[in-house]
Amino acid sequence: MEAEIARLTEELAALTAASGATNTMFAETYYYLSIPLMVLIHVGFLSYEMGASRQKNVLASGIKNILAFAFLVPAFYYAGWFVYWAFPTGFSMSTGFFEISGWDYAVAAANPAGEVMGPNLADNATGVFWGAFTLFAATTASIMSGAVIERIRLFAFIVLAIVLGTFAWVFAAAWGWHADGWLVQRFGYHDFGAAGVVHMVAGFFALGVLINLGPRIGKFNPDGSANHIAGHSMPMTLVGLMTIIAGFWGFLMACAIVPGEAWSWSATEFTSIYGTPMTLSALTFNILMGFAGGIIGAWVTTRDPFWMMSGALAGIISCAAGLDLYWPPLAFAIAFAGAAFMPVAARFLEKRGIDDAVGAVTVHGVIGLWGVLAAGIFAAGYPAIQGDAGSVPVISLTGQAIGALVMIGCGFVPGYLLSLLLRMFGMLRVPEAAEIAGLDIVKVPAVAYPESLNGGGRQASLDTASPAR
Amino acid sequence: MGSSLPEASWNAIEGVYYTGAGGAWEPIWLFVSIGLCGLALVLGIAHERHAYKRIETERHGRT
Repeated sequence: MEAEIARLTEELAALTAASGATNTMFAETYYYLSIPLMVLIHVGFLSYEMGASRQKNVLASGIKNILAFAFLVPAFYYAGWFVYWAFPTGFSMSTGFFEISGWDYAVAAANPAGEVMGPNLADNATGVFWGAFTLFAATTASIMSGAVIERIRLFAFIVLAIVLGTFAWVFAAAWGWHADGWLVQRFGYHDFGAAGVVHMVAGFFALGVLINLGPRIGKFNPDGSANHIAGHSMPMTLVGLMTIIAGFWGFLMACAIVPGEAWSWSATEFTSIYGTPMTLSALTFNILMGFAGGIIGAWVTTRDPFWMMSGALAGIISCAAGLDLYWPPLAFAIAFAGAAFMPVAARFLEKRGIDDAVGAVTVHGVIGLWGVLAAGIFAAGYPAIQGDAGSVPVISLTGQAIGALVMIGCGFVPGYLLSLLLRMFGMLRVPEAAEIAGLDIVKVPAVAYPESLNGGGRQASLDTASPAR
Repeated sequence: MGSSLPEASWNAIEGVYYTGAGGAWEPIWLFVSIGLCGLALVLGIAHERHAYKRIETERHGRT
């Protein structure tokens, strides 16, 4: 009898260990797989921005996008990940309510010279979490990238991308996308899918840069009216936008916290990054309704395929903050409204002399703002974190509005100031001769369309300017 | 609209939790979303008819 009990005890221990190992492998694989899906966002942005560029600038736009992704990886490794864990309570770097933030925690969890920031058999989480966040960071840079095509200097763009992806959005995330974040703890700020933390910050950062960068030559007439500068390939742009939508699934799945691990909020169910319960089914309902409502809303007000696909993005961004909470038909309506409003916002910016080549400020900044506020309107009253009634902050329109102001500040202020500094040193914009000739012929050792009738635009460019080579 | 939780806490919530669950807003948003789809289709039909009529008018005008 005793031997039997001992045997069963041993077997139970083995089964428990095996079950734990299975959960750990599942959790690690879950975030691992979200990363190549998020890389699709960058495939999409690459295609989108190259398509939106004129032929003479297509490869230069591509290089810009590729380098944004590349530079953000080491930058986020060296600094960004640490910022996220150190600053949730503010600049004091004190330990937060749930004790998963502050200087000490960041040194243990995100120190680039520490043991967990490399291959470690005892750590199945840090690399995949860091990887998911790195892709979020690269996404912010890609959002800015489209707005500034065809006239920004590559060095300036890389510096701006690093500041945006390593610091600007990360402070916003520490404050509003972390359970210890002061926006969450004090104001109940809720932003499940990062409408404010990623999209608003990147959109308003881009606005700050665009003010100093100025419009493309030929965009505006002396009387202030705007000319449409068509990209060289709308099909490439459309496929790019649809690819971004595919990649968005990876982005949103990485916003959920897998259960059952030591670092999980729950033993048995998925939670948001704030520790509030949710299901992937809820996400699926609202993601699809968000995309659909956005496409249809944009179709109604624009009839333009570019804006329809941008509407898909606008739709999901409109719902992002409350994706874990909305009734799906409500998500559809929120998405429809956001996307239908896009052309109004775009015209408003254009009338003020802002040349946003791909509508990044409109889709991410303005619609991101709608998304943040919508959560305060339609999801007010939900507790922002786990805890007893009366002891936890709840989602409110006021809290969302305060959060939105912080997001605008986190984006616009560094974008504007840094680009102003670069402009003062003559390092922001390419020379006029280069812009007219085309950036490909000036600095790219390759030809996009060598067999096209006009030599990929190079012959026309050669006729109008002397090449720098 | 708003929270459908009985109190401002996630403790002991096990089933439906989406915004407005069980309230008057559920059917309202359901019909709004269906209505928006219908509106989009109606406007789309009108746009398409107008576009075809314009090209036929231009074509007949040239001949």
